[in-house]
Amino acid sequence: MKKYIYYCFAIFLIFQGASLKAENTFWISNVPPKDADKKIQPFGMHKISSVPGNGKRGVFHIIQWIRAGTLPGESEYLTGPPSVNARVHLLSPENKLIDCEFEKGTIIYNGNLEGFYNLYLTKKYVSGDTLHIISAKAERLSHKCQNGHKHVLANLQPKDLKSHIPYEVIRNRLPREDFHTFIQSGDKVTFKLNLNGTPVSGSKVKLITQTGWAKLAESDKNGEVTFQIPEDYFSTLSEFEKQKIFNFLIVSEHDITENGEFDGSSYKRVRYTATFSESYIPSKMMYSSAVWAMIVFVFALSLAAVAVFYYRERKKVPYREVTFNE
Amino acid sequence: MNRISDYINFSNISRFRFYFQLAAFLVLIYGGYYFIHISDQIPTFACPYNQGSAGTCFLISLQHRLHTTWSSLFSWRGIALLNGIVVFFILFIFFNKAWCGYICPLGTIQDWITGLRKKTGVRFSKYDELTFKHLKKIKYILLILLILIPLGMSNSLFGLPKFSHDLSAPFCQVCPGRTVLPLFSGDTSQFAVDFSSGTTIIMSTLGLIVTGLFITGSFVKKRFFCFFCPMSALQYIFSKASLLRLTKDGSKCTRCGNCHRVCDVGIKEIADDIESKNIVRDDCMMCFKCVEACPENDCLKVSILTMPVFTSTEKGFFKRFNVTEKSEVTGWEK
Repeated sequence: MKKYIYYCFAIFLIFQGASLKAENTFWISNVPPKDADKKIQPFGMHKISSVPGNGKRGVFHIIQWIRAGTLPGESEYLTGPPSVNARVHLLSPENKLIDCEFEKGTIIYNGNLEGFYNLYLTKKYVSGDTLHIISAKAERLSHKCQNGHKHVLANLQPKDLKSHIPYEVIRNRLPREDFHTFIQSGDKVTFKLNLNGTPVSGSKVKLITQTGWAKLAESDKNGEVTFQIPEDYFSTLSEFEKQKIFNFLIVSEHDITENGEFDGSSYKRVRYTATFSESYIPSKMMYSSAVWAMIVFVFALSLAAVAVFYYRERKKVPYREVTFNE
Repeated sequence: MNRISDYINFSNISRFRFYFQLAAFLVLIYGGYYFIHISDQIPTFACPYNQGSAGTCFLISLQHRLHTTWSSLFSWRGIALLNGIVVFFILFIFFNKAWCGYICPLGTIQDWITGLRKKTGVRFSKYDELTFKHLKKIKYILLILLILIPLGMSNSLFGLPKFSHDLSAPFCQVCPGRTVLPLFSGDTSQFAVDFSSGTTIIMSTLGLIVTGLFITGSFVKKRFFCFFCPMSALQYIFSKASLLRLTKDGSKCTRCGNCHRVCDVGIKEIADDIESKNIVRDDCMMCFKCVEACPENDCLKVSILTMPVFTSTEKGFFKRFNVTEKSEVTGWEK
């Protein structure tokens, strides 16, 4: 009986997922492929996907990859030349559009400014009577503690690019988020959906984790949707890999009826697809043990107490009556 | 004016201290929840691992700022470090080492544990003179390590390979404040062994061992941890420039030894030294119990900018220690 319930649940999940199609979905990843150049940092909160510059003060570059598919763990790294209609926009932490190199499925840019870089890749095409506008977005935090914190705190705030990206997913910041915050499994993350700068309610949004766990939700009246990042990686005790970094993917679609023409093809409706990718790490809780802590603490406490007791016992001088020989 | 000074001089400073410590504890532990933020360079254990902390202990800020390359340290980053030291100094200058005796939450906890010990009737321990001399060096060793380890994470020291980044803020990882203080906000997350890496296992285990020793130690020895505290060592460097002072007039001292006997830390020089005017030592936490216990008029004096605020008096001594004109216990008369 239990088995059938699981089957029904699995079928339900598949149908839920099917409502957001994977076709032509691409996204931007900051996790390097296995065969990436060894100069590219595969780990580290502020180092991942960066290439150190020459010298200690040299310009360092951030490199990100275009990947196709809706399963972050299995999405293919695109290596070919960019599509004709694909366009890249890069918004600096200072909210200015800046240049980047876009070739062979990778986007490379100078990452020396403090704060979040917003990287966008958009593609338009007509299929049937529908104009598809697909936009992929990724945020990349660039930070060096030696540059200070307080004066660049404003660069952590979420930004949008409504002038170029009609449908956009914006990640709200976590409470107390700072330059050293990494999204962890267990965190509740809220995303906002904007269509031409206005929040959209009732849009379907799907979160897919590295291992393929997915959840479908709808945006509320403020255009917001909140997901709790699931714990989908469980290490063994011998595997000390706090720095393991995964990607999760947000996919959202929104349809509107609109007649028009694009590249000589006419369309009757527009389908906006927005993807947003971000990194997350396994929960630190998984690596911490309160039981072991209690064992160590009680052991140290008891050992010290016993040591003090025996030290005092040893120092005790037995009573000796002094008698005077008159 | 004389009436005010008499009122202070005859008052029970220990009782005042108890309530002052309680207030300071509440502000430093829960102040953050009420948007109180004193500074990021507080000269006492305002532990940032505690979410409600009303500020940040200078030691974590110092370690964090020293985690940098030599070239950065001797550039504008060095200015940030100097700026931190200046803020620390400005905060420190008003209270001197009374930050330890009156404000430090970890010190307050130790005093509470001592109170518990008194209630249970367990006797306290004191170090003998030689042990005292040897152990007092530990806080300086910890201070040096606290400076060198963060530097060694970004630079190669003495040809050694760079230390693991998991050693970040090394003193904080072994400080009992990190494990104990967040418990008062209901946060038990620091009370854990971190299995993320070999370094974190060692450091978090060491932190818990120190916490165990802290609890037992504080139970049998007054202000047990203060003796090893690198903050105390750092404060002493600036102590002579402070506005709050504890002075002694050696000519009035009868070497009765009361001051040494009541000293929680067990500083002997306060009784023996009749030459020095400034009597603050590196282990002193300026609790002023010595002034309270001194029966000689004007022998020990607490002053701010040479203006006396609390002075030892014969009358105050007898009042505080409840010694009447005729002692009911001994039968002696005065």
